[in-house]
Amino acid sequence: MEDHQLVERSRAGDVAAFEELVKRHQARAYAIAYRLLGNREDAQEAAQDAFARAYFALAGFRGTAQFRTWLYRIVVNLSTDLLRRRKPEVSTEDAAIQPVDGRANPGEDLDRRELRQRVSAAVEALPPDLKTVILLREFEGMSYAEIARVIRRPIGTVMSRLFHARQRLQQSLRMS
Amino acid sequence: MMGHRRYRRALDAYVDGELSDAELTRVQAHLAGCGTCSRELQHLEELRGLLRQAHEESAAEAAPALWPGVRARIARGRPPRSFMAWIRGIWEASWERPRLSLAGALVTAFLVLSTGYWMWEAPVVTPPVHTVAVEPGEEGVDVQAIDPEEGVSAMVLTTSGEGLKVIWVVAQGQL
Repeated sequence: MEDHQLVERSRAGDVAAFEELVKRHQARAYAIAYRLLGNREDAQEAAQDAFARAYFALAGFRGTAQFRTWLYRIVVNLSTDLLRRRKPEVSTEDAAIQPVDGRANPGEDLDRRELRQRVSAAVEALPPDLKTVILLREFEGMSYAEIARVIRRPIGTVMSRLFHARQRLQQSLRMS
Repeated sequence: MMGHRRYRRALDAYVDGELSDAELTRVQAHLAGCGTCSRELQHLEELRGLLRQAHEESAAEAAPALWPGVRARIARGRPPRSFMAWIRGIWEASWERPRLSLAGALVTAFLVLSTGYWMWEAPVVTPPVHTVAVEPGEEGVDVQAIDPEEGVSAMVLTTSGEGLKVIWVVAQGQL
């Protein structure tokens, strides 16, 4: 059964149909929240809240967007709201203790685990708007058009945010 | 013809595979002759590699079963909306209903302009002035002088018949 059919059934009060939608989209919804928030507990809360909000908002869902795009938008909004309320825990300075020499193979110079931690710290230190687009692009593999639909901004804004996010990451990791 | 700065910006779209065929051809031609942009492209590709390595662990993070928690939230009923969520709801609704948002913008513009015009053109209303002759000591006329604080004097004249009360306040010699 297609998503839009499950949406119609859910809207008519069929909770089992909505359960099917949750099971179908929970992996990616959780992954987006996890990458934005960085821990399991917050990600689970945000993803569950997003599904519940989607359920209560089904009456207003016009179906012009795909259900999953609409759902991811709710996940992103809830997660970025939570991020903005948090105090920043990691500074870009912390992420840039040692420069990464991008011209050599960095994996040969640094322990892979340490490298992962430093890159993760640099991503963590990005402002929520920049972090969202870089995560949706790099880890969710979304196209510019998909990202634009999720964050409800023009494609030009997506491109601009990606540019600035990458610039900041390069500066944090001292790659340029 | 794109300037160098715009080529730099186009590199992101290049590594993301988001350029049209014509743009791709132009960027490739520029890269062939521009060492700065070629190095920048290399850095961008290395950054992407680092990001993917860094998130191998999170990619492997299995999603927990969300349905029990979702079902419990649904059973609790619709959560109250915060003011910001309410504003966002209006904002987001306007994205899906461009005609509605255009109508809203026109109505708002009309209200702002008509209110501004009314405020600009509204006549200044002067309240009617009645002169009432009273004398201190006259029956029904009471005059009191009080000093509420240092440097400030006040005089209150009250007429019972006219329902009139006049207060003078004199502060530091100013009426």
